[in-house]
Amino acid sequence: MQVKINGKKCTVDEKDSILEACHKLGIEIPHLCYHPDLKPGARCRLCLVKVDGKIVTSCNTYFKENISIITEDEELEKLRKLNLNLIF
Amino acid sequence: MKKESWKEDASIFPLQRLIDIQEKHHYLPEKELKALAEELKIPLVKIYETATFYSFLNLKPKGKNIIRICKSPSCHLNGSENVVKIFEGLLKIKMDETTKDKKFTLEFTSCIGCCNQAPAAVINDKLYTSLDKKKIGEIIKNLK
Amino acid sequence: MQILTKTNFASFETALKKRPEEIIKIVKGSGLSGRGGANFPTGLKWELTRKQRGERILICNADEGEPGTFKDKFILDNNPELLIEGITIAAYAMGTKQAYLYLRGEYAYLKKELERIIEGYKPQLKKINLKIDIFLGAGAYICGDETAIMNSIEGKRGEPRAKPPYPAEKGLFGLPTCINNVETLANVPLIIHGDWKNLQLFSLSGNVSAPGVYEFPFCVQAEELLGKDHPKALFFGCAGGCVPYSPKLRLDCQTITSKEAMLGSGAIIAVGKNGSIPKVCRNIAEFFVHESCGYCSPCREGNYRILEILNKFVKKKAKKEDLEMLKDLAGLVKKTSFCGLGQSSTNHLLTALKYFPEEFRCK
Repeated sequence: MQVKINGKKCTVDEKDSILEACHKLGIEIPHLCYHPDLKPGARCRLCLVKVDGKIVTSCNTYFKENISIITEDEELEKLRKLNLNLIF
Repeated sequence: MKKESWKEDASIFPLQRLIDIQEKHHYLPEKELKALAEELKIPLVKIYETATFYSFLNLKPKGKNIIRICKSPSCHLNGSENVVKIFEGLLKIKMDETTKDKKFTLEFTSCIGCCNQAPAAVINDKLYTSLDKKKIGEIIKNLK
Repeated sequence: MQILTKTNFASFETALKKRPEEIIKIVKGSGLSGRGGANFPTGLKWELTRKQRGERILICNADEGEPGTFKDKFILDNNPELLIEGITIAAYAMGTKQAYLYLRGEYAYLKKELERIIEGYKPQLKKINLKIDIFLGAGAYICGDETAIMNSIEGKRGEPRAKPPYPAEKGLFGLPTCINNVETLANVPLIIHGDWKNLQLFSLSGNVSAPGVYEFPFCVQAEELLGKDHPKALFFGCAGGCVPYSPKLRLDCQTITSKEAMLGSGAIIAVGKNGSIPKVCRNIAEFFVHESCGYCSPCREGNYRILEILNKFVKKKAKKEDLEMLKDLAGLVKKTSFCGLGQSSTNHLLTALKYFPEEFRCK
């Protein structure tokens, strides 16, 4: 499937979640409660990304044709840091 | 999950059983929870997962009459703090405590839908509204 | 009041003469939308559920927990037969044989009477092979959420589920499920009966002289509801946020949404001129701390920290950093919580800070 990640055109396996696909492409997204052997719980709320501008958790969100994903920006970093602070 | 088996799952309703136990014993004794787990063939940990989630289910012994005072905004704006003081004064216990004779427990609860007759409380499934000193005195007298 | 009309199951008999698809078309055409707060078109929900193969389930959501809302209780107290009829017509339209009436624990006093009414209408229910079971809740606000209600009935913790899959595709016990609010279903027999007007039930309470349930068209102005009362602010339950009171304020979804609040299920809590907005916010934060299911960090931890800071504001000991942190946390919880409860749990604060900043003074 053709999608855009951080402005670059990428080909991804639609069976992968955004988190898994990014990992395969070498794009790291912070996560705490995700494990490949478990169903994604989306509890820690650290793996946040923007899909067409909307903030979602990447561990349990899947691709649609031609969507645009941002994995790093000022807002995402701030939200991830706050969530991490709340946990610890 | 096989679609045909959903009716077996549906007949179990662990939450309803827990509500029945709570009503009978005024809390959930460990012995009863173990027996329920065995009867329904559910792991005990699953029974505890459910039992610890709901406000009206208690794992520790409570009084015969659990007085739940609403403290949501409408009751708060109409004197729920004063209702608390009156109950505490008459029963000589603080919120979240039980009287020595185990007849009364005082707890807070979220909105019980009596906002137009605030301040309100729920005691043993019955709703008590427009509470004032006189009404509270009557309530305690009738429940003793 | 329209909602107190006694139809005596006559609408069900009328509905039976039509095909289920026709009933769905009628409900779609009426413009009826969900009255639990989400406003989803009811006819469309029924259509999506009916489309699914196999057994389908209907859940009537009587877990009215939004503080300040008591309109469902009003229907259950004064015209429960109308609701049972609504459930029956909905079940016929969707081809469901099993319906659950999820009754919040706080309304347990209604259980016997509802069971008696259902038993009384057994002949009618038998015509469409429908079984209506009452399921009692046990004091959990989150169980008003349509996915949490399913987990609760299944005997699990009442935690919400991720969507998709949506309940219409995969709901209770994995089966296609439609969840409708009490007021939504109570309107159905009236639509079939004919002469129906799209009216909203408002629950008015707080610092007002005439609290109660009022029935008005959606475009009603605040002064029609509040009369001569002139409070400082209107809070739309705990989850809907607040706006400064203005007599000409139109109480419809679009107007309230444009003010960054949510009309939701029509709960209106008035705060009088002498009321303290930070105190009300603290009261609401306490509510969300208690009712948070705990599943995700932002709602569970964020609301706890928000409460801590609001306590400082009430004691007039808050500093500038506290105000900044309050704003950051409120935004975080809204943007990153797992479910609708979490996402709306800081609306009260975001709107209070916007409209009443002078009440949040720092040292």
